[in-house]
Amino acid sequence: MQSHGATVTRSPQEITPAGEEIRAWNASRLYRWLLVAPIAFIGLFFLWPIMSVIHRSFVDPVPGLGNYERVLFAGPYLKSLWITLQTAAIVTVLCLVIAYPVAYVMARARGNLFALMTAMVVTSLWTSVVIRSYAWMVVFQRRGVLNQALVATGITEHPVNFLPGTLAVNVGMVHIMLPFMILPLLANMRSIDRSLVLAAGVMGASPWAAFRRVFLPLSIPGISAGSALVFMMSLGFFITPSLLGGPRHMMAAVMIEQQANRLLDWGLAAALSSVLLLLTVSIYLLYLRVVRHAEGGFAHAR
Amino acid sequence: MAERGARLTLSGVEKQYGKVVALHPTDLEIEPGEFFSLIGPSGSGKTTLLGTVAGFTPPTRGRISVDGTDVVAVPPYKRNIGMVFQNYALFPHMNVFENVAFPLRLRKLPADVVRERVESMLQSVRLPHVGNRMPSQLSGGQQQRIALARAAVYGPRMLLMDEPLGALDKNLREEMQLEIKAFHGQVDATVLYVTHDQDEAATMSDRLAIMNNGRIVQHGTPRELYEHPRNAFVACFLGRANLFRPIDGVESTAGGYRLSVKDDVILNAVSARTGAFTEREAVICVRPEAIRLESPDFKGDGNGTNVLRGTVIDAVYTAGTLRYQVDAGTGSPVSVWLPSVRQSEMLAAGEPVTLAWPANATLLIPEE
Amino acid sequence: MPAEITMPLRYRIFNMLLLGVAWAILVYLVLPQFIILPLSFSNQSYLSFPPSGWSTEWYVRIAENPAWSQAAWNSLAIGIPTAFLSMVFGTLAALAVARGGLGRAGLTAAFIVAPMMLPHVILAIGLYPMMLWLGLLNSHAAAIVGHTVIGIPLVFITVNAALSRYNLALELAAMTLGANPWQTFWKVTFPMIRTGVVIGGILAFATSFDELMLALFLTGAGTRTLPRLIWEQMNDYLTPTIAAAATLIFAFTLLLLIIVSILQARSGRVESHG
Repeated sequence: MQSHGATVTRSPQEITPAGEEIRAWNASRLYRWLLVAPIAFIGLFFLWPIMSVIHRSFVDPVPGLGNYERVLFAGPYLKSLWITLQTAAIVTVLCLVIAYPVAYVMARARGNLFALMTAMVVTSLWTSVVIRSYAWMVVFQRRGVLNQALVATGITEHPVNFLPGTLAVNVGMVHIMLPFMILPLLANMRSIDRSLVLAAGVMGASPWAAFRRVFLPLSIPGISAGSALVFMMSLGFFITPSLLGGPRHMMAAVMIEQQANRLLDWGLAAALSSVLLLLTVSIYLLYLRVVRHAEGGFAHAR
Repeated sequence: MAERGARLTLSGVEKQYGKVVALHPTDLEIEPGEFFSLIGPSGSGKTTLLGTVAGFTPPTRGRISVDGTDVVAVPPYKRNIGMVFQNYALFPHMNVFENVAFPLRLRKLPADVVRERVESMLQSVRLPHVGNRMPSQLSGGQQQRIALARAAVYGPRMLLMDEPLGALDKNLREEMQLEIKAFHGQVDATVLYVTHDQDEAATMSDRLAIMNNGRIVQHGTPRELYEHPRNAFVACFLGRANLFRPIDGVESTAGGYRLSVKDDVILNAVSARTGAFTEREAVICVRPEAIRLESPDFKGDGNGTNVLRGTVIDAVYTAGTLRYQVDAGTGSPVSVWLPSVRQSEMLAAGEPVTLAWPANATLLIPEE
Repeated sequence: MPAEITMPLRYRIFNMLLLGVAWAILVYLVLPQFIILPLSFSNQSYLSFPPSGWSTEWYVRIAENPAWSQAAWNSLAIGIPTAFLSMVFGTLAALAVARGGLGRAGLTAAFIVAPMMLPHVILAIGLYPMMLWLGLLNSHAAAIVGHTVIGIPLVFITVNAALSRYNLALELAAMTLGANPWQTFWKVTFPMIRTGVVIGGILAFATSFDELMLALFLTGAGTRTLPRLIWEQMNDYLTPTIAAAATLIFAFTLLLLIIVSILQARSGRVESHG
């Protein structure tokens, strides 16, 4: 474009030199300074301790890979990591299977009905994990609700020893993790345009086909976000496996706590922690990708 | 003299986001007290330009001065510029009085002065009794007036408006255009107005600038821009334009240019620009309201009047105007707008017509 | 819904089944919490359900045992500063990420949220030697620091959501009208995000109030929190005293939850007007 009147467009090289000397006032730069304090706090009291745990796993009690050798080849440690992964996977799948129909029904609900259903999920989420685990102990104990029911109905002759046991851990953990699966699924399903499913019906798809071909694929972001969240939280779970699991079902967090707090084997605890950290961070990175796909990530960056 | 609006000068103002250029180096001078509009399609850089003047879009390079003082390094809160936003940006947690009083309280004026000024400002936007209401209780037009009052209450010498009428419906928008115009006369500030509505810009502005792809394409009075667009983009953006592409070269004559747009049809044209045109870069622009209908045997009047024959393909009546689409074999259909009072009957599709318009309404302009 | 009227019978039956299953699962979600309630009024010292008789003995025991009131005090003395610090740091971080035009805003957000996602046991064994070295072990301060680390993400998320819900032009308007960044924050931004900040703070408090792992490592006999006390009691003997304590905590949490929903409903109303 050639110049006309007072309007001149120039190539960047010809800019008035004065323009480059002056630093333009910039609000974003001010806002960025606010990050200093929180980043310093998280860096000092989160990143630094975690780094020191990783460091410790290589130097305590003697420098080398000794702790990792023990994790891999000695004692119940590798088995405990395996149980952790297994439990996390089972809990995730169970949560998904149970949460999906609930979220599906909730996504269609309106008004007071929806408020009541949400209140039930959120109340559960807000109830102390210690208390909920305690409730499951009451249910599963030898003279507990479940055994009374089993004996009364004649299914078993004598009370069953559920505690400590794998069944109790799985049931308790599913119960505690369920809200973390329902809520992402619900958020996703409420954003799905139901007229798409109706449209599929108009085009001749049976309700089942419309669900399988249209609704289910659209709900995959919710499925993956919820699954990643539940899996990740299950990996580090402590209270429920510790109370209901006992020595036969010892998950990694319980093992770590025992090594550090009771057996004072900090090197081994650090090595186990590092492995657990590696597992969780991998899932977290996966989760971030999934969430970014689903809803643009945590940050509403402009 | 101090009450007059400020003089705004932009020189080489440029904005890049990474490698994306939002605003190419731009120079612009706005006179004190002027009502100046920036128009252009979305993404053309008009809001970026406004943001650099307001102070919240730091320019990558260049200088912005108000009355000769460079303000690039001055934060928005010290520029003493008033701004009206698209969705009014009234503070929802303050009532109307507190909204308008906000800039005065920041300036630590005594309470009685604040009260007096806010009340007189509410008076001048003709909403004297809404002080105790919350913004959400007002209609869109009322919120707009309060936003105007808030932006002007502290007597800024420059007012920026970012599509202030964008959220209003058509009738209210036209009413508010006149109101803002009158308000401009009252407060005597320089106004820089951003809109994508060309009618709005033409109605309100002393001068306007048309932007496209991060550049000012042309600026001037609405009439200059309408009658002498410098290229096809301006011609099409401001009003409606019929564009014809010459099929051969452009021949320069004593009074203007001659060129062919279809076999056996030679048109006479004029241009604001001197020098040779080639058929590659030039188009002819004819406004639909410059064309008249003649009898089928009309052959021209010897004054260089252009004649084109064709067939009506569509006829629409809209509010006092007959709008015809005519196929004249020149590529796209030709639009013809006639005041309905001069035409007793409406032509039907399929009827043959002869179009005529004077040579001086036939502008030869660059395509780009 | 007209689409459902024309549906074949088997789909209507399926829909009813689905509804039944969903309600059953929702009841399963809240039921265990309510098993505790009758248990806490049991007249027996072991946990039988349903109880054969009623008494308030276990509540009296809680009131009489100074360990419980001491633990409740510790939980508050740790939870309230945690909520406050989380609100300050979380709000600062959210403002910087939402308004700072950071090139890597997503990465920064992921870093700030990470402490909430990673196993707390790792943070606990990392903070333990650090607090030991600082001489803060078994103090309220140690637990406050640990809980703030996991509380910041909660405030960050709620404030971020609040920031994205209102029009940025409000802040720009305040600035053109003459408000400097400090005035803009206190007169415009903060009133807009206040509910988000408070809800985030309550969430941080509730998390601290319920947290066990960091409490196990960082608090001592004199500074142990309610979850830690319950935990210790649970490992020793299962009596209805725990059920009574759990019921009281549950009631307290419900109260917080009700406050949050009232705040949310109110801010939703303001937003729909604004």
